[in-house]
Amino acid sequence: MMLLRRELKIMLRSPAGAIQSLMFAVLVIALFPLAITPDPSQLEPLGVGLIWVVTLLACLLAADKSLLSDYADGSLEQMVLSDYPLWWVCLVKSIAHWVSCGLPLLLMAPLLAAMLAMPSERVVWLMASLILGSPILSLFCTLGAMLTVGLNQSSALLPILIAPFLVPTLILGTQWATTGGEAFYGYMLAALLCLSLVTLPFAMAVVAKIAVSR
Amino acid sequence: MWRWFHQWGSPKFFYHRSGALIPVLALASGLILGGGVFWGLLIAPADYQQGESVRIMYVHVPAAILAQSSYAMMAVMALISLIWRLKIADAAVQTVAPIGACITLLALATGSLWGKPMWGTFWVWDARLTSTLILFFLFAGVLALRNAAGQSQTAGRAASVLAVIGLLNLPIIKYSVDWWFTLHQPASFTLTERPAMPFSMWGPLLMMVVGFYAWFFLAWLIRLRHELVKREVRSDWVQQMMKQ
Repeated sequence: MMLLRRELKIMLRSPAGAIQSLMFAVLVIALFPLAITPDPSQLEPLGVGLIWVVTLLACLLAADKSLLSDYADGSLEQMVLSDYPLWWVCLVKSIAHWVSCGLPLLLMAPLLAAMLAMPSERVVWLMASLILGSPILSLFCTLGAMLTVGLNQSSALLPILIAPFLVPTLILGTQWATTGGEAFYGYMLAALLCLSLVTLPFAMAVVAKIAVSR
Repeated sequence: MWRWFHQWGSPKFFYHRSGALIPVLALASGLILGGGVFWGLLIAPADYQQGESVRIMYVHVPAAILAQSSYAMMAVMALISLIWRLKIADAAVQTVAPIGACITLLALATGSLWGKPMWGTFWVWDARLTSTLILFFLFAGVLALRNAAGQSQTAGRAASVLAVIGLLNLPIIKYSVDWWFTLHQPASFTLTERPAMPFSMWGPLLMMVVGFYAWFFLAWLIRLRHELVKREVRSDWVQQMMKQ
């Protein structure tokens, strides 16, 4: 719990990261009506997909923020060496990513939906799909950050590695929302969340050990 | 069994013993591929529906089969290198990744060349096409991570973890793409089912598949031996070989 409190404190004291993710999402969504058409009847069918893709991109962009500073000042190494179980450290990192990126985007979704003229009953399902889907995005993004931390690479590497793994989440989430809550997709998305939650922290633990040994 | 495993896990033993395989594989892949190409492109009949363009299948089908199994082989090698820390398994992962990526690209390219006359378009978002495209991205990810992380041993381990996670995710990706396609769109295109292909068609196809595998193992072995010498350049056995 100490770890979680530390992460949340760091986040609250420098909320710039979360705000930047939100600004990114709003800005990109604002570009679509400009580029395609301002006609609500044409924007409406695109809405769910656009908001999901923007959420996914914002999560990928923010993936390595907190881990980079932890890696640079050596606290990541200390966390690996500490007697916390390593999977718990990794899970906390994912939760922190979700709170700083997934949660604000989730709360912002109704606004984004309004920009794309989405009917309100669709917004409910969009929110539901994001509630189940965004934690999966955060888990995979943290895995990607662990894989690439300390490589001094361009920031495009992480999205290249991780985006293919986000395809099932994207498909199930958008399908669930656009079909107006067809139960099959919801169950599958929930199953995917459970599966990611119990497996990915352990995969991340393996990767974290590799990362600090660089 | 374990002794065998240890022996073949040693770069020196592997290098010296595997040399004999190269001419065998080269001869096999040359003969089988040559025969398959001759049989498939010149002798086999044209399809009554697809005409001459069915001949693209003699390259496309083997490439698509090989693309998937080469990813599986890479991931198994990655798992071995993670568990037993065999140097040779790590080198195998590194050397098979570019071959697999090229084969996947070949499957995509021949598929879209076939799609143009048959479907009237180079690309449709069909479930199979989409999952092959994602397979290519998975290969690209392993390659990119490997390139970014350099030659160190930790770089190899990170790429291996990624390959293994990719293998575990492949069924999830495949099924989600299937559901997305089958439930979302009306079935606009399916790969034409030919009930009971005549032998004159599946004969050359089978030959091409076997030939592709032989060529794949040949290319992998040559790259792997080259990589082993590069990695072990300071060891005694490579030095001795250089002197001779």
